[in-house]
Amino acid sequence: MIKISVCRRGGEPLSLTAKEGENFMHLLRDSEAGVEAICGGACSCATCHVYVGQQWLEKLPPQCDQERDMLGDMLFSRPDSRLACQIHLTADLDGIAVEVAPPEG
Amino acid sequence: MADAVIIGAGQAGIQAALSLRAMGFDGRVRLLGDEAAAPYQRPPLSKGFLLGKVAESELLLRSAHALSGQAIEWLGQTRVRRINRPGRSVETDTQRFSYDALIIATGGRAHRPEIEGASLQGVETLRSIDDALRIRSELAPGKRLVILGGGYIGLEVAAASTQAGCKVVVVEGASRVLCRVAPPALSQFFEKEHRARGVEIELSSTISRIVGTDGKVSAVELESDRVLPADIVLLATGLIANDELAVTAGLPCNRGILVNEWAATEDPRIFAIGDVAVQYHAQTQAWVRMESVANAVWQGKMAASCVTSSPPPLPELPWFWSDQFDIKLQIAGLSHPEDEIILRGDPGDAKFCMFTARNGVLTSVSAVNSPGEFLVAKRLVAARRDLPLAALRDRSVALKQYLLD
Repeated sequence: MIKISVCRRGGEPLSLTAKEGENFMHLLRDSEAGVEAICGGACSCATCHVYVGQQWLEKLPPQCDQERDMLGDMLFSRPDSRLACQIHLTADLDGIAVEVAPPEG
Repeated sequence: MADAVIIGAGQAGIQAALSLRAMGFDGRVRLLGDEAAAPYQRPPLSKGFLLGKVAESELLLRSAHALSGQAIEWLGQTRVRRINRPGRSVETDTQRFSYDALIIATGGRAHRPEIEGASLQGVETLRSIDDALRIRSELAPGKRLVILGGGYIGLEVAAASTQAGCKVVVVEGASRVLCRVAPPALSQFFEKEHRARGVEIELSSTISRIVGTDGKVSAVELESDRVLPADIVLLATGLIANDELAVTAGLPCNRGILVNEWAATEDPRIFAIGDVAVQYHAQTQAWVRMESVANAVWQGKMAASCVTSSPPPLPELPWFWSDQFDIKLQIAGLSHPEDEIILRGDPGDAKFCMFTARNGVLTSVSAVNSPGEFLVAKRLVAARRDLPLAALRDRSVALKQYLLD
């Protein structure tokens, strides 16, 4: 099992566990993390935006063009921003701590 | 204790259920779906799912675990036959569910035009997982597919089946594709891109009859007398609202259930949301039935806020997305064919934003392969304020700049 700590928008912590290979957005959406995931993973809505912490960035799969394009123009993106729908969880992400980013509106 | 019943377990229904819980509703929430499959997303059915790139498990709107965790009782294969308004209950053939609040989210079904031969084997419509599985099993290199209707579904299936090696002809009655949703210049872009990838498009044309051999489709005849050989015919001519339960229950309907800005029907205990709802928009003073995920989500939240006396969701611009071949289209706002066009970027390199404006105010944006600019542009359109419209053409100035001006 992969352990994940989530900081929700209000600041409350949430601990989750995931199976190897699970889509990160699915995990957040199905929990009480407050992630809407309106487009269901089509890289169209930006509602699964999370801050992953600099130390985890290099363990994550590279961004595709669409994700890079979106993060480049989002109001609340940071260097450690990712769209959770583009990440499948792997064993080396065990212990990852993420923060749910503010909604883009 | 109050109990809520939601008829229809699609995007709108599940959103209403989740929002009821998020807004503190503590009665029973029953989500009644007529399909066997657990609540799922429909948009991928005409895109990645047809190509086998999206698995059935990835279509789920929420896991069973997530639903039970929220005490949402999803009941599949549960077809409601009647709404008993005086008795405040809904009835299936074998069960009866009482409600204090009823949310109708019955969606729609594919329109089937009355064409000779439409009941032949191989003539399909696409709305459900079962439809998509059936069509997917037929797609193979060299198969000939004729699609009636050049809207989102028609073009998305044209793209997916071309990628699967099929030979595709799209027959559209209007003089351009995407005529209900896109400005004319954008229609021309999509016609060009589809043709460049081998899709044949017949505009201002319609099918006069479908011909078969041994009960199976073999060709379609156009009104121009042209005959197109076909192994599969997809009828993609729009959606019929499933409003029969409401009509029978005496609720005002007109090709959908009439609701006000709050998703409320004239019965204070009954709401209607999603593809089945025809909502009055005060700003445009028009009745609109909006077929989109974003609308289903927003109306689901709205109905839940009324039931729980919670603050309503913030107003949201209508928005849509489509993926065809390697082209991502996102549209926000509603345009009129006569609106002014402001083009940012070059359609020649398939990455641009097409704004429309009326009387100097932005009405919509269509973003092609520009998901980042789309998010900013959507805010600009929603703001409805004075902008230097001509300056939007200049890509050396970031769109974000205009959010602050």
